[in-house]
Amino acid sequence: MNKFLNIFSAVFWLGMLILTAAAKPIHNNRLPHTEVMTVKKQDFVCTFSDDNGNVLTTPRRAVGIPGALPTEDIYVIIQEEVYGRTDILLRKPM
Amino acid sequence: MLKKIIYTLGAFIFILPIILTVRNSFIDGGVFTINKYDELFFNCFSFYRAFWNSVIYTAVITLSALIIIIPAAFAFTQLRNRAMEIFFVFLIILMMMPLQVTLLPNYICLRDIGLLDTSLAIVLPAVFSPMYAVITIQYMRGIDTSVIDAVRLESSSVVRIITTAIVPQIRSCIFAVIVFAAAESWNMLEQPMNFLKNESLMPLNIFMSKAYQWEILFPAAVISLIPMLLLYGYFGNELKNGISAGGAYE
Repeated sequence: MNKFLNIFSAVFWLGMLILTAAAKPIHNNRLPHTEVMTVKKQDFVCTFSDDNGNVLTTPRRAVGIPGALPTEDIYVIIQEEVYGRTDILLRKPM
Repeated sequence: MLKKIIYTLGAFIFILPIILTVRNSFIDGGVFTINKYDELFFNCFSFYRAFWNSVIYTAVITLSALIIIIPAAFAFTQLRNRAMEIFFVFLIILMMMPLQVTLLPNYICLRDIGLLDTSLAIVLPAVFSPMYAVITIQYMRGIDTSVIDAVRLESSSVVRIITTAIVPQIRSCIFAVIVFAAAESWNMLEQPMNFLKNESLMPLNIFMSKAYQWEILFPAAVISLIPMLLLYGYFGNELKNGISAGGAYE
């Protein structure tokens, strides 16, 4: 029983550490020439639109993919997801 | 036989919320899926911040509480005079007060010393929680004092007396305090709600109460159960000893 506990707890804490480490670079992955766009989140399919309301792209699951590439010319990276409000940095190619 | 059935039924009712939480975290629309975990682990980064905040608060509160409470309880058991008895009554009165009563004085105090919206606002009031002190004092009053006298002959160091004569004797009480303090600080909700505004300092419970998607709520709840289950797995037996022995010396 104790052996199982030890193994389980080691796996749990190690797993959480690895997942956190895997999640972290996204926060630091700030590229130059960024602008904040608003994101509508519906059933985890995101629609990105610019200030005029033009839909830029509808990536399958852009939120959460580090440096996801929804289209050829638009890079989407996550800035922060704070309790329901998702700010996303969108970088256009230079 | 009837007793067994009743006990099993009672235990089942108690464990039902946990079963439902685990079940709901894996089932979506009647189908078994791990999509919700996928969503939580790879699409929701504020979860990790909240999780580690909770872990840090719990660890710091539990360890600091132990460091403060053991010498304090030692002082209470050694200095048996009028002032200490009055002080002990105060401790018990404080212990009886519900959290909601002490919340406002705590808030005013934290505001006046400028600690609102810092992690210390969560840690400090919890560290000096009177309940653990009372448990430890009651337990310590029942231990064998001849060991203390024996150590006194060898050394006059209080630290030495505590580490060699007291701590080994109150082992199960310490484990009980660890489990209580950890569970209470892991589950705290009112303090961070009232003392914190900065979202990057929020613990896991606040994250879950503000989570707007049901999808991530259940897996987050399951993850938040695991550290407490581990703690109970390690210290569960000691906890039982600690409580029953503490009660016997009342």
